[in-house]
Amino acid sequence: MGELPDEAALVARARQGDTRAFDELITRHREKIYMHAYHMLRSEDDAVEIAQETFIRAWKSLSRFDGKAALSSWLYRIATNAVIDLCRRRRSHPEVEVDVGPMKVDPASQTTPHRGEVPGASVDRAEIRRRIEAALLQLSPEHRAVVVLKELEDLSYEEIAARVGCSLGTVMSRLHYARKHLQTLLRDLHEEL
Amino acid sequence: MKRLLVALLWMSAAGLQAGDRIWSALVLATNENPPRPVPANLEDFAPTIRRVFGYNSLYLLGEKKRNLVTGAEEWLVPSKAFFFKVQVLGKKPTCYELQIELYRGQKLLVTSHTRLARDAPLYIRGPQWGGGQLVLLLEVQ
Amino acid sequence: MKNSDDREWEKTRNLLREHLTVPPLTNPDFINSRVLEAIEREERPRPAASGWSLRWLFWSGATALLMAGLLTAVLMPREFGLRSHDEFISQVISARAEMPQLSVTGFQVPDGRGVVLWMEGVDYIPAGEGVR
Repeated sequence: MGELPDEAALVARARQGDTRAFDELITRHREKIYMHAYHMLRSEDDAVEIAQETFIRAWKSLSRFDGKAALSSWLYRIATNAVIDLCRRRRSHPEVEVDVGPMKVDPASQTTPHRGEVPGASVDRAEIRRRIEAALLQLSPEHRAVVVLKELEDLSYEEIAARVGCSLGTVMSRLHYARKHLQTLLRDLHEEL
Repeated sequence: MKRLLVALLWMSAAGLQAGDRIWSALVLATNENPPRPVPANLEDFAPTIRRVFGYNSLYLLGEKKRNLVTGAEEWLVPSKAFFFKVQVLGKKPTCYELQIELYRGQKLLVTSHTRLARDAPLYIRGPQWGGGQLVLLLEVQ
Repeated sequence: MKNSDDREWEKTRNLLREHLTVPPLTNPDFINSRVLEAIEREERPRPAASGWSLRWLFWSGATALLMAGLLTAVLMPREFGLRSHDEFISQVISARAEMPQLSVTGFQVPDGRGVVLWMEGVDYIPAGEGVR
């Protein structure tokens, strides 16, 4: 049985213009990049778009990848920058989908339908997820990235610093701010659950 | 008759242009599939809200209108949760210079010196609520 | 020993981990094919501009200019006495956040028909709390 080519060999071949080698690199890293983009944007379509954009940018700047850091760290950094660029272009947080489902709404109505939510009533899982997503999306992309990498992808502080391209101190202070902010935003949810 | 004349003279001295009002509204912007029909008095705002904030459906939660008088302070209370104090600092034929304070309950959130032209409203991004985004509107009409 | 802040954060972290799941990547090969198509497009040599397309560009540009001129002449209101363009647009001259956790930025709506005050840091309002 043949061995899988090692990553360094694939990168070297891709640098020479070998798209088949690059295809293999995409296959090895696409899930992680997609997952990271999804955590950042909470949208499947956006995550796929970012994943594509990441690999296209990576192809164009392969000559600048010196191999000192892991390829995955380099790709994460490209992905995070692509997310930041997307957020800046849109000048807003990505849309939060709302499922208004079976509620009867009069199209001529000018006021919001009463959802029947009473403080203390049980909150269904979809609503919890929406509220957590909304809170996460309130963070700037830079703050969101460190929270996602630390709390959801379990990276160390050093790995996070490598992936977002900043110092350890900056990672720590962004994380501190992001945690405080999230706790404030989700305090009501804690109390309801 | 004399009183009416004095009132008219005072109004013109104060710079009041007949029919100039400031309208404020609290809107809930959401994304729905399919998008809901836009309420009639939000039709002018829907394209901008879609483009800038990314939402395709609007609910009008409250609105309030006041006359614009140079030098005077007006409280616009489109909702009990969010309201404005507006002072007219100056007036030109097609726009007003306003000092705007936005309150949430007892707390002052934002102060702004804004030039507001007719048909060119101010959109203020509020907090998330009810699965969507609150947007506050101010327009000279 | 964990302090109360750490315990508080653990609750939040558990919420994030429990609810922020990621849907599986359906059709992952789609990413590969799109990326490789984009690479191929970038690297394909561009065809030289044909004489026909240059001529087309010239005439479409000239027509566009003519149309723009006609529309301006017909639709723009003529007024005696000039008004400053600024008087027709709204503008945030200054804006200040009055609470430490808030930030506010002002910018023009892209088509110039309005102005936006973008507030960051305003607390999320629970759905059960009235705002009307």
